[in-house]
Amino acid sequence: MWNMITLKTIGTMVVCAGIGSLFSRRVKLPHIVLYILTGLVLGQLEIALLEKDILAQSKSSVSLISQSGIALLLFLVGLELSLEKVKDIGADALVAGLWQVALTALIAFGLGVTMGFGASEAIALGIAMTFSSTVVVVKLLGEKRHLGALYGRMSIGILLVQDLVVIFAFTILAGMKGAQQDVMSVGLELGKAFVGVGVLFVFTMYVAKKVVGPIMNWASSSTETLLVWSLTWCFLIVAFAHFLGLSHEIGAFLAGVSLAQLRLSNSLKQRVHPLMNFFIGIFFISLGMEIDLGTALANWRPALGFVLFVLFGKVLIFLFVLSRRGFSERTSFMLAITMAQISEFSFLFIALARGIGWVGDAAVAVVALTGLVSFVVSSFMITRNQDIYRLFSSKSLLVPFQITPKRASNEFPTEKRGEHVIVIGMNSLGREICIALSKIGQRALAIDNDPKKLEGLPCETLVGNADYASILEEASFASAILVVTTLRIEDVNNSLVYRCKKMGIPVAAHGFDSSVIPELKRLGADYVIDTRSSWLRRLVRELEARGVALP
Amino acid sequence: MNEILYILLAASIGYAVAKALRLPHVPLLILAGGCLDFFNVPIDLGFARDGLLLGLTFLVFLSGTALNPWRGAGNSLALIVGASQFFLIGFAGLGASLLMGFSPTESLYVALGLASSSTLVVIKILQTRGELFAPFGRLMVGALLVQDLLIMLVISALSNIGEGLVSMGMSISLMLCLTLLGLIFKKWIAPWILLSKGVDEELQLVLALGVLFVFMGCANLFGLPFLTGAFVAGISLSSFPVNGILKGQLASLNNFFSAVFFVMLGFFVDFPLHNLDKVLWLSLLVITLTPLLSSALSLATGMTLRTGAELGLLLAQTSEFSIILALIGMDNGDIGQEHLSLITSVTVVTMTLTPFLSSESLASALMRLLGSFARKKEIAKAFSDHYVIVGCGDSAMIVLKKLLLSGVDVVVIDDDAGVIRKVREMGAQAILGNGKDPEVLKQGSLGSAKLVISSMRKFSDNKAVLGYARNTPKVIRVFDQREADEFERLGAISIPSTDASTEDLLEWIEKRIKHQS
Repeated sequence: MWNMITLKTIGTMVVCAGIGSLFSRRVKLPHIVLYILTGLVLGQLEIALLEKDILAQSKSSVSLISQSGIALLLFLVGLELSLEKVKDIGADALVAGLWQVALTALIAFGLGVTMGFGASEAIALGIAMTFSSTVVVVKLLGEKRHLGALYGRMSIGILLVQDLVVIFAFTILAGMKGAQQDVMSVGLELGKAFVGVGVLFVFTMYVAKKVVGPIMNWASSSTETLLVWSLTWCFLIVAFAHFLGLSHEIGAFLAGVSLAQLRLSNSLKQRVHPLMNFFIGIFFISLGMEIDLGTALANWRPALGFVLFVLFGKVLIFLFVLSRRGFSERTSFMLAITMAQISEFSFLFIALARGIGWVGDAAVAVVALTGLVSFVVSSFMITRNQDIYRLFSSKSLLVPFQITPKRASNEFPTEKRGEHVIVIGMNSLGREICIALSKIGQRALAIDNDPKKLEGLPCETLVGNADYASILEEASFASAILVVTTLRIEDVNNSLVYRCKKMGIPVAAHGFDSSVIPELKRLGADYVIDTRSSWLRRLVRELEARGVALP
Repeated sequence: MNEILYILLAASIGYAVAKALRLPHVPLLILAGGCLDFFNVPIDLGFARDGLLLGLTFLVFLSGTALNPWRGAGNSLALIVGASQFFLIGFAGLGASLLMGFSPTESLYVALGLASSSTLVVIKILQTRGELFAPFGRLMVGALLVQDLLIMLVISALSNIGEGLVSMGMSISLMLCLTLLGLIFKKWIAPWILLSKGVDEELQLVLALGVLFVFMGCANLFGLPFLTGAFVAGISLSSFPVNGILKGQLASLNNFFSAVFFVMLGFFVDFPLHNLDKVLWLSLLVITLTPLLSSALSLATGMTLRTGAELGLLLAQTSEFSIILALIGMDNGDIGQEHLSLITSVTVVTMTLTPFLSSESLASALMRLLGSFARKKEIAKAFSDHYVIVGCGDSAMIVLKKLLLSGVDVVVIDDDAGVIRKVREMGAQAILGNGKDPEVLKQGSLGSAKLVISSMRKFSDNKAVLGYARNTPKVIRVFDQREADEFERLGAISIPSTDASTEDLLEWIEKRIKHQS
């Protein structure tokens, strides 16, 4: 009954990535690079478990997991970027995105011709080089928590514009395949795509607000229900996008944006994130495995030219375009180096072009090698983008671009909290503590995974789950003066005490039962809330005050 | 990606119905999967099998991570409860299956399927009640751990059922070796690789899943079923702080993959409408025998009757591991689709009934029934100038100890025969009965007492005490200010425990701030 092939394939991928991570943690290899290199090694070694015929059998499930990973990644981006955060950059992203696409395609075409490719192949190569990788950019900016920064939001905006161009490019390809390459049909397809995006946007926003939001609130206390419902919503909109002829990515992104308006969005982000990490890891490892390194290396000369173009030429193009839109030097530069790679769509596009005989094997190999190298190098560049900017800025290397910001903008959202008490768990004890802290003028932040329990509190609130380490950053743990957990969950309280002590933050934890108190003390809790002892002390005092003495 | 959408849609409906009807989600997910099959929803069978297998792997792995063996260590009661239920219900199931006409091997699988209770359902109910980490919850988790370990040993042994007893013994030995490896890993290696510098959340997840697949590989090397490796991998990551750090990461995977597993299970299983009588008889066996057995154990082992009754009612269902066992039996060729369907259906029925069975009113009824066996004829005695405690839980027990130390007369009223026995051993007067029953309150002579302390769970019960002892000073233990205000209005001294704790905490904070400044 069991067919273990898929399990073995995934197991081998994960174990190899795990071993790789043990060796690479000292050099702080970006995760994407780790996954791609793992895939590359697996692909080349042809480990017995992963022989090509076996791989082929497991391919459909692994490919489905990979595709789901991309959808979840975009869904998370949408959850991160509410409409409030993107509405101010829409026009800039559209103009800058279109200019960049046009200039990149043109110059890459010239480079292709120079490298000896025919005009037709050079056009295909030019188109393939214009796109940047949504997956790489979003993943790395997410890890850096820079998706909310101005350059992060602009990156997402431009990537979405590129997604529309992708639709255009694939429409042309489809036209060529079916030999219906008239301008009318291409224009019609493109028009349908734009209308489709509009319809999808209005539909998701309306249904999310009127239907999904209230239903989610109804189930807010059930964490697994919320996770499954939010994933269902994501895949439902992906299917709808597909029906409208749009990409999965646009569907997943809009599904996320529509839920970002809900109070629960923070909690949903926390829950979807680990799942996305697992799925997207499989995607990158598969990607590495599929690269035919032998053929790619045989075409290393033209590939090197395109790699240099993508890593440096594309950066210059972005700097040129953005400097005309009034962004600061820092935002322009960081955005430019963020986009210095090609996209997973480039692989798909060139493969389809090869399928209809538009390009030969050499062009496919060039794109594969350019993709591999640009993914790896740009991952390092994005990870260290602030250091690189400081280096360029200090050496006055950006002066020739004459970048003069024409607008005041909040480039990085600033930390708003500090000197606050974090209270986790809004049961009656947690609420009482928040109210008492507010009465004495102490700033408090209440956290619970159920938004209903946060209603009516006289302090700042945050929907989230203490099981996830990311809540620490969301709540600005580092600048808190005290963390109080009133939860009646031993594991979570112990973990919170452990984490707080590691960060040197004072912590008070709920010793809701006499059996949990010794462990809390052993872990170093600064104060244990012992409800029974407090009640007894108060009982004796109250009785004495009312003339009823206990013996 | 339509396959994933269909599965998620079915799961969403299952969760919605579970939420609306306040039922466990597992049986509803299985039924939702059955609907996918019924309506011929186009799901690629290869992907469905992969989904079932992945879901199964993660389910077993994550069950292991939630069960820290040391949590149950030293709790001999958990061992007695877990093992007694496993063997006694197992034997009863074996007899019933043989009577139903199944072959000995088939009967063995059916019996083992009935023998253990569901970790998923019980932990969820304990979480909802806020009792997971209370002594009662620890006892339950300990008993479930014992059963899960027994099931894993059984799975190892059954993998060689056709090759004689020596082979089966060998498999069990190898399983124990694998567990030992897991424990070594847990103690020395897991903290080293998962908590070292430079390992962020994402790498922790990759490494944890790497551990899963390495142990599955080891199980394969030992010739054991792959699921035993997944379970041991889970245990190897179950110690603190590793489990605490991984909890959030793994919880999301758990929620997703368990939904996929149960929906896909429902998709593959044919529900045995022609065997409905067998499903009902076996379900009846589980839901009647388990509570009776636990209650009998409570009388024999010194547990309170309430604990015994609640324990039995809460354990009265079959487990997700029962289904896993049946799947393995099918894979080994020992049983057929009919038996898998039977075990799955019994699981669906008993899990669905659990919330109703584990209600407080049913526990009280069972307790009264069993209490009547234990109760001797009480001789009415008049008390005066005494202290009365109505409802003697953990907090009231501390008050009782203080009062007894000071040498005053104390009368305790409680509806739990076990508590009454304990109180009498401590030297206090005790009355077995419900604290809101006027007849029982009359026996406690509340009118002539110096002080009445009521610490029952329900607001209405405490209010009944208040009505009966109008002229006696009364203290009511409540949990929030709203209830406190109401009781103060009715003339009682009412102290919300949250209020007292908050006051102490703020005092500590102020002291700390002063000290720092």
